[in-house]
Amino acid sequence: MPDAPTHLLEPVPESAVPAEPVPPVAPRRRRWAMLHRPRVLAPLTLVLLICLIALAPGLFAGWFGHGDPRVCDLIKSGASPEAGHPFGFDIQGCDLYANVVYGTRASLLIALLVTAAALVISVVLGALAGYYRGWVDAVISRLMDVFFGFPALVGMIILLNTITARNVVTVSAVLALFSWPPLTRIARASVLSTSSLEYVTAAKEMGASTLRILLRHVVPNSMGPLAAVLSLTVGGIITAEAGLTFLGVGLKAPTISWGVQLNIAQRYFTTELHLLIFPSLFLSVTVLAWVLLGDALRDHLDPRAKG
Amino acid sequence: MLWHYVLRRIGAMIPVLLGTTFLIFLAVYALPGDPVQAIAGPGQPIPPAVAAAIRAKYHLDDPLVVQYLQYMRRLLTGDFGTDLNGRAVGDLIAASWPVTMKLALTAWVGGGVIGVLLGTLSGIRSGGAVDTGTLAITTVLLGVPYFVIAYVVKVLFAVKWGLLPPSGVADGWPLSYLLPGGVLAVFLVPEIARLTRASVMDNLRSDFVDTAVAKGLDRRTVVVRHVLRTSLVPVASVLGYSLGYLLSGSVLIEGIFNMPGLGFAIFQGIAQHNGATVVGIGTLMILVFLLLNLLVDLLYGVLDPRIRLA
Amino acid sequence: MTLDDDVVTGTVEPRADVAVRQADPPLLEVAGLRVQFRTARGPVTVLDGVDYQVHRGRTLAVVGESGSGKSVTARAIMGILPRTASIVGGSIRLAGVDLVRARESVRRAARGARVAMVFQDALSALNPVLPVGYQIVEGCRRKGGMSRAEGRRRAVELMDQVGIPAARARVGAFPHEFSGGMRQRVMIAMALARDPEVLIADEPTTALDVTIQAQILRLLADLQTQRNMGLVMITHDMGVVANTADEIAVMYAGRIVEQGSASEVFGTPAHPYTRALLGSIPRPELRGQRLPAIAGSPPDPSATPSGCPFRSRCPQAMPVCGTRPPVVRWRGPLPGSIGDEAGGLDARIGDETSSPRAEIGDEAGGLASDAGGAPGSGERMAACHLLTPGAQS
Repeated sequence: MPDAPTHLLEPVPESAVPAEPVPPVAPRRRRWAMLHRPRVLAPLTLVLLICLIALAPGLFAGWFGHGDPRVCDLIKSGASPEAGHPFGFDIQGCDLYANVVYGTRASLLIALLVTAAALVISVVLGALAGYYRGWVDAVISRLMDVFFGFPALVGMIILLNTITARNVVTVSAVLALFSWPPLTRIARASVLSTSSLEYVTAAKEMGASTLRILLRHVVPNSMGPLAAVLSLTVGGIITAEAGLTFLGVGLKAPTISWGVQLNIAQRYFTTELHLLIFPSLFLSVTVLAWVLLGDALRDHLDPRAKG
Repeated sequence: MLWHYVLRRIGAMIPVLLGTTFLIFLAVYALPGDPVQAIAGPGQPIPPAVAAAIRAKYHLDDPLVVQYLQYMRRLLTGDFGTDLNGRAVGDLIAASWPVTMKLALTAWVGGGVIGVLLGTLSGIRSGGAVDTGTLAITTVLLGVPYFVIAYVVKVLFAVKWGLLPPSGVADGWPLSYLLPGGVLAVFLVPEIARLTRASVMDNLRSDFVDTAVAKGLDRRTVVVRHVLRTSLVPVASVLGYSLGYLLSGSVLIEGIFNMPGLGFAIFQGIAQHNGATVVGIGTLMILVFLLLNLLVDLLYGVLDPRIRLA
Repeated sequence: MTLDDDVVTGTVEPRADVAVRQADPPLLEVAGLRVQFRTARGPVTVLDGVDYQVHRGRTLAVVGESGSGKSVTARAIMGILPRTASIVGGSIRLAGVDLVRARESVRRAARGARVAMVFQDALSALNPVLPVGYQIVEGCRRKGGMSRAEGRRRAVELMDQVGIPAARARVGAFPHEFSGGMRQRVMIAMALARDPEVLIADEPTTALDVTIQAQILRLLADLQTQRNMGLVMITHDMGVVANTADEIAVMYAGRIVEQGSASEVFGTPAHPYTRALLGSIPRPELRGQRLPAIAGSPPDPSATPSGCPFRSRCPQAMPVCGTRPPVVRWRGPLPGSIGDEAGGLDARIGDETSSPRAEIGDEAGGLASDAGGAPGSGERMAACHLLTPGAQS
């Protein structure tokens, strides 16, 4: 074999090997860029709009002139839509449109409360289980298994049935009780894989305190898969709460909520269909917005979990 | 070894069983508030003699652990408690059980078949009409609450077109079960269809598909024998565990369609403030759920040797 | 001596092995193959005029970097290009039939039966839920083919032939139950099931340990001899082909830049890229020194430089390299069936016979300098050949 002339070839540059393994979170630029894609932008806009309605329902309820959901006239009970009342009247004779708009608040409040609580719990427990492993992990995993062993709906029904005071707080607590396991499972898996990465080992070797390692290295880099399902979780909670209230074990009148409205509406659905249709419409659109947003976000942030 | 796997699965189930039953027990008997009231149902006035009898019967003055053990003992002997009308919950369960089973199975088989079919067609011709249609429908089904779908379906099929009975089980199987089963299947179809679709699309791009084509096999053989068989493995797994979920979903559907099953009994129990009924049937459903999952675990251990390593 | 003389007078004697090559028609002949991929940025030409031939009983090694198109060529032959790819030119002749223009049924009949492929990663190339024996004889058991029992026997027989121990016991096992080397043997057995005439091995040893690599290569060589097959060995590792190849085709950026017998290409590489590849093989003599590598990286397929694709990395590039690639073809008189895709080859066919000839037996000599820029294509080849060590420039 002839010797190749050396002026043709160059030595391998030393900087060819990357210095650090790439963390699993999308780089900042890409994350903001994704907001511009229509698949994310459309549901996101809708979700923001819904949040706005929940925050300040008064702004939207008055569009047709009769914005107070509690101004009721029994004579109008169950009346069909007419001028100034695009959704008609509910059984009590109150403006249905205003009630539906105000109903946004309860559903969203519960959903956000529950998701926030479940998120905090899952981050803490997931981090502990994934980082320390050993018996800590065993205990937390067994606990998760117990809750996974429950058909959630039945469990929630039983619990709520025994609680006398049913308001936003109690219903949220029960929902959170059954929502933390799925999120914790994701968090734990994420932490398990992150904490075995080399920069965590490096930090340990350098003597960083456990809390610092957790807060600065492990948790931030495990958030991807969790963030991906947050929006989906919100959508799921809204559905669950509506279902429970519809069954009669969730919120109760006089709380203004879609579930309550639907619970009443089911008795009259053959005659006063509008009582069923309009709250359902708002509920469906809201859930769809969150679910679609969640789907789009998940595809971006955690492509492995594509369903 | 298969036996090791079986024992391990059963062993894993026991703490879960104990945990869940303990939680139910806590929920009813240990929450702040009068447990007597909870057993009787919130809001029901109770004469002192009845209250004393309840306290004695349920050992409410004993330490909590003892109470729990008594509760378990009662469960094991089939005593699910007595409702306010004096009727043994166990009898109610025996009467309601077949309806729920038929409903759940109808939805399971029907939903499974439809989901897999739609998913497969969508996956093979991704981007085509079937695919877009399936995605659109499943998205809608995910967002619209089941009770809305139930009522819409009821109005259309039963009231307007008179094709199927709107409620009750008078017409027996399958007529009475088609509408409710269809709505219950809504819990299953979107997930199964999407999973099948994703699985098929994934496997279509696999290397072993290239290998199969390179061997000279025709397209149909490649799709059915190679793509489908591998794609359906994760789907079968989800299907297996979904029967349990359908059981709990029946709670909701039976109420809307007035089918006298377990779910309806719970529904009634809630409406009539019959605490014992709710707890008793709920406990049963949880037990069945756990047992079903265990069965599915064991079945897969037999069918797929790779799982035994888990 | 000028180059033109040799062209005209043809005074050079053909070599012995070339004579053999001439007499034996190729089993598989790829001519001017062009393949394009549809991308978001428009069609991208991934193969730009590839020609090579496979003869009975001989091994052709196709060598190149990742992205050079060597696997794409193989997949085009087998008909398993991805959906976004299409053959836009050239021909693939198998026993005289042009597969590119044939009906799908004809192509399907050829797959597995006349030309078969062994893939790189056996774990992903085998179906994980079907038993190994089933997959091996699946091609034989189509309608009207073997029965179940016959198939099983044939599977065991094939597994024996490829050296899998305890074949009868393992015929029902699943791919994940085998080690890497054994799985590759399964793949080979599967490819041989219908006694193909041509076997294409796409990086068959890349995913294996070095010790297993040697075993598999030996297995392939033995099988080839036993069955008198034509073997195409695709690899990026020159070391792999050193002992096994009869002919070598060097690919770069979708084109073949040098072809010839193994001794020619190894002994007297003509194209700068080939030289660079050979030069970058680790050798004991280089201990303690920096390992030479080729600077730069292969061009983006959607923006391949015109003419010679290597010119952006070739220190010897000249203006003319931009218009006509210096493809170095068969070192002897051509069988005559290879077309002229790259342009300007007819004149150069003569060049190829003459200029390398001058080097045979004359390692250090090189050619008389033509740096003055004589007209005609002769100057093209001469420029490259000035790279021979010791040559004056």
